[in-house]
Amino acid sequence: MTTTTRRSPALTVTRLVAPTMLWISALYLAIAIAVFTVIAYVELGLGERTDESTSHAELLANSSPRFFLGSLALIVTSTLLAHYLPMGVTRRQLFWAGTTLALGGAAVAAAVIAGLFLVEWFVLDGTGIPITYRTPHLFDGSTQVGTVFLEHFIALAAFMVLGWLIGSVFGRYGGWGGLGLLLPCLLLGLLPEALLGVGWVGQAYDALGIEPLPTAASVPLGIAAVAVMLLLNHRLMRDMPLRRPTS
Amino acid sequence: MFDDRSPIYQQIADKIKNDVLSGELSADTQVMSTNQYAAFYRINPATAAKAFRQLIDEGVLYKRRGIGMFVSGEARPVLLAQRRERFFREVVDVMLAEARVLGISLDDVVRHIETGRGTQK
Amino acid sequence: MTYSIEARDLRLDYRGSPALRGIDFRLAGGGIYGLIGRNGSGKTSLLSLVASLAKPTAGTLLVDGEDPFENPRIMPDVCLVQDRIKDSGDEIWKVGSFLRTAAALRPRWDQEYADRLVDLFELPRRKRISSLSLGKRSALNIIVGLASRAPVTIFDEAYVGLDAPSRYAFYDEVLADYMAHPRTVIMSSHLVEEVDSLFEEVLILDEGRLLVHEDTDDLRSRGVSLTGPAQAVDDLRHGLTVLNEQVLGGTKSITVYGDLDEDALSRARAAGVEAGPVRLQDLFVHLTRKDRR
Repeated sequence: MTTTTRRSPALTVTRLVAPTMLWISALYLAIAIAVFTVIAYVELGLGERTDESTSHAELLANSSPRFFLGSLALIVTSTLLAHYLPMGVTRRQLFWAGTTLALGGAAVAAAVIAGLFLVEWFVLDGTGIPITYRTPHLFDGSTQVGTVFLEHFIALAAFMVLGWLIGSVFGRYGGWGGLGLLLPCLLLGLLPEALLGVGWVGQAYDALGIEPLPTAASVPLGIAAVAVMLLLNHRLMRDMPLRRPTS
Repeated sequence: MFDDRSPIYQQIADKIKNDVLSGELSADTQVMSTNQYAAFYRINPATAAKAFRQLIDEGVLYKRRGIGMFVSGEARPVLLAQRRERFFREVVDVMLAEARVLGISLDDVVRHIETGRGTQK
Repeated sequence: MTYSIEARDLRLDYRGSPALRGIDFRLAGGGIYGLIGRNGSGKTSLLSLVASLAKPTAGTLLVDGEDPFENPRIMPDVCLVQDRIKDSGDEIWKVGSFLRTAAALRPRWDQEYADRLVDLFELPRRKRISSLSLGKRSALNIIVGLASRAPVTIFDEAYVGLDAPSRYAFYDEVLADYMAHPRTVIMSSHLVEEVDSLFEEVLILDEGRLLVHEDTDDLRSRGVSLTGPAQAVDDLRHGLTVLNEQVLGGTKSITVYGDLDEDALSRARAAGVEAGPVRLQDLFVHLTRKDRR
């Protein structure tokens, strides 16, 4: 009997799923970067603004990545359970695989975004054009790589875990139950960004005259909100049955 | 393959006994293992093992540890004696009972057998 | 490696209605067990619990002495093979990657054996599962079940999609691999004519209850069909469960279930009654017939 000592099933599942997820995300990011690069060149090339440029890296980062990754994460629970539960992986192990995938995916995407900010700074700073941001951020310069990463990591992780949570809720409570719980889920998922007071939320705060929390409080609280969603996922997954027709 | 009322293991045991009686399996020859029997007849090895256990109990087979099962020396004489007894009980007695129902006298039966013996020779 | 399986008053509600209504049994392990039941009798529900796909509503289930649900030691050692890959999205996978996934997650996987089985069942490794015929899909699942060498291996209607030659190849492989690597094998179906000789013990489920759990030979010997003059046949039926009854003129044929008195049988034979075997499949059909419930 060939007995292979099995490494952690959670890591094995992560390793098996990650390539597919990376492929899809890379394809999406490539398209998004191409689109926003073209927009940037068109704007700059037409000479509309030579004094300053709004950040196109910001434009990209503020928009679709979190929705894209969030919707990708909708199928985490159902896919992992359907594929790997029958292969003898426990739900707890699948939860850890899902956590690794969500946080890992958010980290990779945040790193790419931080890189884009840096590239944009290189290109524009070389021509002497200063960069402005449309919305408030934790950082005030594109070269603050760590802060750029942190802000986007929290925002992206929030959306990925939110997508995953919505998938779990629908998997657990079915269509109507899922719809009923959609709003509380969305509120919880938007909480990290609301706490950070960045992006469009930050803009809204400015308009309403609300003072955002100091970074020292907002970052841990934002991370805590993500952790709460992870915990909910764990509770939802740990005794979820795999629906099969009886015969 | 086995459609008789008696359990499969009984049928396997009977088949081995028949092979011993016909001389196909002589004393001290090794018989197939339970697993070989199971694979050949596509049956559960536990079923085949039951047949062997019965044959060992009856003294038809004996076991050599680690090697396998063999036909015992007294198997054939013992089986012959058993079958002879069974022949009278299950063939002759039943035949005579049937003859009585049909009103055939014992003498007629004996006479028939003797003419049969005559033609056989 | 073999695991025992034990259920005590095991219950499962499925979508608000009971699928299992209190099941008790103990399988010592290391045998081939037949689980027989009509569609909807609760076979798949029971097996889903063994494979931890769902949690019992009430009662106890033990695999190798432990609760299998979310048990990281037991779950990789239980392999449930179903007739096809249902609603899991596995169809987009290629045969090869499906097998590699199983290889990565099943701790006792035998790659050489898997390769041999892929050749035996003539599976195309590079094709997507969705492009395979139903029979080849069944074969793929069966390969995973066999090559996983899981101490508890369950084939749930796993072979109904196979054509006859493949089915016999499957029976031979199950038997050969079971003898070479003893484990607890459960084969579940409502069609058992071809496989009942493989079973050491038989469990019959009916409407969520365990109707029979017996040694296969004992069960088979408890079913007898009696055909002969109506009066003589009726004299035999006392104390026995009559499962089926047919009359043709003065001749009566009944199927009885129970321990038949050998002396009474000898007397009946003399009165012209013929005793015949009842196949396990027929016994099952009679025992679970609707009008008997």
